[in-house]
Amino acid sequence: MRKQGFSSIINLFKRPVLIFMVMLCFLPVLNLNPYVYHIVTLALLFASLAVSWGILASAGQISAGHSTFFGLGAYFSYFAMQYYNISFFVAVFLALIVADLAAFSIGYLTFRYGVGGIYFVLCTIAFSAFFSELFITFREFTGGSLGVSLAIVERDSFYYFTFTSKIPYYYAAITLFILCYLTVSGLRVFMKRLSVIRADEDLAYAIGIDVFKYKLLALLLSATFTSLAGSVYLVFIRFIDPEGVFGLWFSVEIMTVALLGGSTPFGQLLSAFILIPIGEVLRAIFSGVSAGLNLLIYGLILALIIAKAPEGLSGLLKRRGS
Amino acid sequence: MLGMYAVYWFRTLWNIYPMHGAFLTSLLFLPLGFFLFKGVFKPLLSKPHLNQLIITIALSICLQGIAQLLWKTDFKVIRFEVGRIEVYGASVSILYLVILTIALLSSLLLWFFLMRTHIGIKIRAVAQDAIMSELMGIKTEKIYVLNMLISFLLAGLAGGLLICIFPAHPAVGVEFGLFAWVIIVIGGMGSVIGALLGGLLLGFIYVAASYIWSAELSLAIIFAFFIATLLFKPRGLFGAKARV
Amino acid sequence: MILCPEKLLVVKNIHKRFGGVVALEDVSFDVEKGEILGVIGPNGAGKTTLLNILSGFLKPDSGQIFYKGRNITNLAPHKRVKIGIVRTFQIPRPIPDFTVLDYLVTSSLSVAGKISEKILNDLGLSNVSYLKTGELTVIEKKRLELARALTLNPELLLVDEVMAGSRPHEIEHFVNLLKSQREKGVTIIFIEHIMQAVSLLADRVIVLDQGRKIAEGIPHRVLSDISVIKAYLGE
Repeated sequence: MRKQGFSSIINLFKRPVLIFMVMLCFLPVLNLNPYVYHIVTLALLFASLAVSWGILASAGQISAGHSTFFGLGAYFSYFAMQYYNISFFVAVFLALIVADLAAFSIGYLTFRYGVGGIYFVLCTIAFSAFFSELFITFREFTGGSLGVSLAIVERDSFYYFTFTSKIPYYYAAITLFILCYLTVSGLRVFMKRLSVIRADEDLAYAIGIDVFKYKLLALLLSATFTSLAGSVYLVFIRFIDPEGVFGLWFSVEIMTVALLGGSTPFGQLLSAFILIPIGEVLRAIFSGVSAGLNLLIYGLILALIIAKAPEGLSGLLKRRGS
Repeated sequence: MLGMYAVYWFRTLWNIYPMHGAFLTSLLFLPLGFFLFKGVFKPLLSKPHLNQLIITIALSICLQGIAQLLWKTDFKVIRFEVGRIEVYGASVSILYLVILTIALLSSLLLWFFLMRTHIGIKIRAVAQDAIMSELMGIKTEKIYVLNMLISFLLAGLAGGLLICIFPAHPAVGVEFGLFAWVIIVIGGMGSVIGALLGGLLLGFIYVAASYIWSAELSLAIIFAFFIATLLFKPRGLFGAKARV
Repeated sequence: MILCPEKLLVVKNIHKRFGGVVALEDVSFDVEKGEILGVIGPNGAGKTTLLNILSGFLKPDSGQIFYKGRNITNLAPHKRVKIGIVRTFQIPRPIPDFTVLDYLVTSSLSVAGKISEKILNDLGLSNVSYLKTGELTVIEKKRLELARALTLNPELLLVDEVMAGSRPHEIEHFVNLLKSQREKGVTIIFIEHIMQAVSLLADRVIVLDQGRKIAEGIPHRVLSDISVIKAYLGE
């Protein structure tokens, strides 16, 4: 029975993804420059973010405010760990609950009151801006604009999931992505229904789909994974600030990676592994000027995608394949 | 944002009086708007609004990137004092009054243009129903170009004026842009008066809340207000059109 | 509250206006189980609006709808599907990227419906089942629309002008298909312009004109009614 369960999970993986993941798992063996693992971890986090953004996008709702859930995940994990000495694993769960509550409120309000299309996008931006300002306000807890550092006493602690080496985070990021991936490829019926909702809401109603419920579920699922990524980010980078984690730029980053990736998780993976290293390399080479170049590149890529290939990388791959 | 930087350049590089700089910028933006329309927006006219929105986000990011490359991320300021006068016992800067006047005048001009002139009516017609307008003989594409030009003109002017009282940095355009959206929604889409009153209202709330609590909290309050309006009163305070 | 349990559908005093335009005014009728009711009337009479209200896509300004004795006036559209009220769309809009089979399967999932070979055959879709719906002809899309509705196991089927543009033998095919559904116990309300189909298919007919019900009865009698002819000729 056990074996059957395992092989059915393996079957959920498309071959390219499986190969990629296995390769990543063995990469630490090569003992490369730690910076490489740093970049890969970040790329994986963004890939997970892109996939989870994609869940909501599959339901037809484009969000330019996903940083909200990331920030909530990061900050509330921080609060739990820093102030209450709660274990990372529990903190993650608590932060998740907060993010889901926020998602539920946002979803309930916008879907119930029929806020759709571009107004939904605006609403998501407004929510992230709201939280950004809110968190800056309460300086004592959040460090205001300067941000906070996670200060854990022990050097290597599994309890707090803080280590001197990058490698545990590396595997955490891999795990997170696999989780996202399995969810998206496993919940086939769910994702199918979302795509009906995206294509034609009236049709969805006409075939008996509870549009409101499914949109809300999509949002909750998306927020959950985004929050998880936020928590991992916290212990990985150990520094967060309101503008960084709640900022519009971050939301746009997520969106760009996701849009470049197209509709398949493998596309997102490729997209993240292209964009994130570019950003990091620019940062390393040009330091001061890099931020501007980064913005320019992301902007151009985003514009190109929208103009030429709305399907992103997966669309291009599909066309090549067939 | 670009408007602000343009006037900054005019002042620092060529020592042009900011007021003149502001008007100069707004005129310069006309051809800029024209070319951007032809190059960027025109191909997307038939695509869903969402694509258009994302393209504007992309454009905004590109411009921010360019701005960062040209001017770095620190705040650029223009020192410009004209003195203060007494108004009902409060000391007010003449500069602010001048800017206020210019802003009010342009709003009134815009209102007059949209409501009373022939072209203004055409613009409003296209806004209400583009397909029908086309059928009635209005050249919608020309109208779109015109909208863009007016919009850029005013934005350039606004930027040029703003640099006199606010510092400039690459992200400032996004900040004000978001405020613009908030004001439009709260004041009502399609209503110039709504925008004007909405702006005033928000300005008061911002200053009042900043004084009582803090600037950031007041911003948070404003965003919360924006969301509430979007949900419960989508027409805003004065809007005539219902949101789509 | 149980109201006339032997009538499957009871529609009472439905009013609906859009802004200044009255779409439906005081429309009432009922339908028995296993009946086939035709709804006819000139363009703009309010037929599709009526269908939208019956299927839950619009709420009436006033009036009530009872289905099997239960008040469903405010019931959401997807919930009506679950209790057996299924509609077709006048302009078919299947999702272009889905294959025909995929589309029907997804559709059937909500009510554990069956994609049977029979449905595909009955509607002449067997040989195109692997094509993407975007590649179908208009007539094929109309058939697909009906197939979609049938996969949802309807008890009350609401059909909106499915025969427009069809040739005589196709019309006959549809009529027979719908009649065979009735054999299985499905009640049908259909909107049609093609009078030939109406006389062949309907047990009873109601006529709408400018939002009002102006006639009701067996097809033969209604179609020769002076006021009905006037309504169509626009006097």
